Amino acid sequence: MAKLIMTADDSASVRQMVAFTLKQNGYDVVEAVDGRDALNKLNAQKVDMLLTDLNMPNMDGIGLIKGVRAGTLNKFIPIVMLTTESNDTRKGEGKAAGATGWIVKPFKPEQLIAVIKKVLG
Amino acid sequence: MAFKIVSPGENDKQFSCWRGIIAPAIGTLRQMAGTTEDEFLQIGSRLHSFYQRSADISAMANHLVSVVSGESVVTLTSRLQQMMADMEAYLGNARSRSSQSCSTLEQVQNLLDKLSEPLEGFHKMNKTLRMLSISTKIESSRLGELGSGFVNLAMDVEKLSHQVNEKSAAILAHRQLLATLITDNLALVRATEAKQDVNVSATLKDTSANLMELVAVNERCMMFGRTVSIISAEVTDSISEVVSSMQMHDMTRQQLEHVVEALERLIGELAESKAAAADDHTLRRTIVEAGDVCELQEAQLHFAAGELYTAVCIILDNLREVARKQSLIAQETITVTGADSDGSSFIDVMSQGMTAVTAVLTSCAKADNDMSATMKKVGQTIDEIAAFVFDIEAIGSEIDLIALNSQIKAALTGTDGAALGVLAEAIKRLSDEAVRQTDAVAGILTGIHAVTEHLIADSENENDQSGTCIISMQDELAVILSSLAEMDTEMRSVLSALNERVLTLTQDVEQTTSGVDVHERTKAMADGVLASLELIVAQSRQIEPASSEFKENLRHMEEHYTMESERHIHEALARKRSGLSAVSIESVAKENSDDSEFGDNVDLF
Repeated sequence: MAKLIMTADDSASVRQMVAFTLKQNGYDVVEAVDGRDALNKLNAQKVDMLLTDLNMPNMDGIGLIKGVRAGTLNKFIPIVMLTTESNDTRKGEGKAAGATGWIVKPFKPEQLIAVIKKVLG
Repeated sequence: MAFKIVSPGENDKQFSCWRGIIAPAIGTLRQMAGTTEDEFLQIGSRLHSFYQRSADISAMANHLVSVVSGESVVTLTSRLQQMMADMEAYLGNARSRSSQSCSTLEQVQNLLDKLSEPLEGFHKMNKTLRMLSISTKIESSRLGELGSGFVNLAMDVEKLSHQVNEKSAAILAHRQLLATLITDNLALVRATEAKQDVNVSATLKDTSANLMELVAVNERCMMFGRTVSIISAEVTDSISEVVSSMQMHDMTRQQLEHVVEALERLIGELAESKAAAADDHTLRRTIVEAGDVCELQEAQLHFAAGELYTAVCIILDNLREVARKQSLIAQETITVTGADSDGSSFIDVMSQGMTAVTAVLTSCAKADNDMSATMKKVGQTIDEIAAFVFDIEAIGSEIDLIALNSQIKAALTGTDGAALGVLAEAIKRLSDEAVRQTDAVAGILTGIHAVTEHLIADSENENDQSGTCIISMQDELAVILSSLAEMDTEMRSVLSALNERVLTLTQDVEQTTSGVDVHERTKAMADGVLASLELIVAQSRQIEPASSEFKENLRHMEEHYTMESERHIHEALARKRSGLSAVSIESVAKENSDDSEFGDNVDLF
């Protein structure tokens, strides 16, 4: 059975490219347009992994990670930040919030897939 | 540079002018950031289709290659090679048999020629018998009552004369028949051989060439599998480039938003400066800051717009490259499989060659049958001639008997029958001559029989074997032809579908890419904004030169950056303004790069 991965990003074109890459590699994808949308969906649906942007309206990526880790359904899933942000301080914040990894955009499909395979074991 | 702070009124006018430049620039930048995503989404929505169709084309190319190079084709090639060897062996044997048969027939022909002499002897014997019959009748008449017994003798001699004439005529007729049969058959065999030589040679040459082509196709296909893999990997790379470049829209949008934020802040400060009727220091600081901000945002915008332009070009180039690669695969597929673009292939030629080979084999079989029939006919005719010879031998014995009776009767007649004794002697000599001539004919016939006997037997035997062999080869060829036809049908079908798919993919990619002008439009927008910012920089620097405190003055901006490129641009400009050696953005980026297992943009915690 295909693994289900959520992509949370306020950019439709980025979500589109993430979904394209994941589907081409046999993953199922669920999309969220911002942190709040993602958290709502994650409270109702079990996923295998979360890929999230950092800067999003309504709730940013750090807030989303904290929300997921505080929840129950997807508490222990791997969460990888997929963001344009490359600042070490911000990375530290992500790590502290519970992020598993950090990918600075733009990503290459093979790179994203390699990271996913790594974190999903 | 000379101090050019003018009156507060003039400064207000200048600030107002700058605000008037910056405000529409902000509007343009917002338009750039907010109205272009649909075009990216439209390309993105087709990307899945392009990728899937590319993969399908590669799969079809591989399938087509497997059609002409799979295990069944290897088996077919092997069978064809064996068939070629069998055919060559068969044709060689047929030629050898034909040559031997012709040689035998020529020998028979020569032997038949030798029959002329004894047959001529029979002819003379016939004339002599008739003469003796007449002479006997005359002598018998002269003797009157005394020679009355010789009349019957004369009639017997005459009867024998007729019989010799009849039998020798029959032998002559059969000899003539046989000679004609042999001459006609030799002519037919030689004509057939000459025709077959041309046909067989050309057909075997063509079939051999096609067989080599089949082997070459196999080899090319094995290599082509690797080529398809390489091209597919290149297509994957192209798609990967598109995916990366598609993200540049979002990144550029963020950069533009940061530029907008900086310009909005500047416009606010320019407005505040007017309201406060600022002092010289504040005015100078505002003017320097206007220059610094605009110079920095000019650099940021220049970079962002350039990145977007390049990204769109990369997207378009790579999508076209995907279509081009698929066309290349289709073209290469046609080349390696030996097909023409219209779907015909060497398999057609090969099938035609095989059909021709079948015709040649059929012709060979017919020639074999004809030769066998001829040899049978020769045998039958020889047997018939032998029967006539047997009859003549019997006539010889009868002559001998008549001669003995004549001699006895002549002796009983006494001196008056002396003449009849001479005639009896002559009849006796004829008897001996008859034996000699029949022995000669019998000897020739024995010779012909000896020459033809084994050939007739072998011919029947070999004809049976070669008949079986030809039927077997024809059956095998029918199977091969059927396999070739199936392969050809599938090849045409897949090739046609492949070409169709490549064509539609190329058209769709062209249709998708030709309508994309977002990069040109955003470049035009950016150029307009850049010109505005450049004007403000030039005017501000003319009033107040750039400060070495650039970095410090714009430190607040650093907090808003999210992208490394923004920081690098800021850093590069700050170094320049601080009097440090100018560095390129790329070199600053390189200083800060930190490669990891997955690339320098990935960190796993």
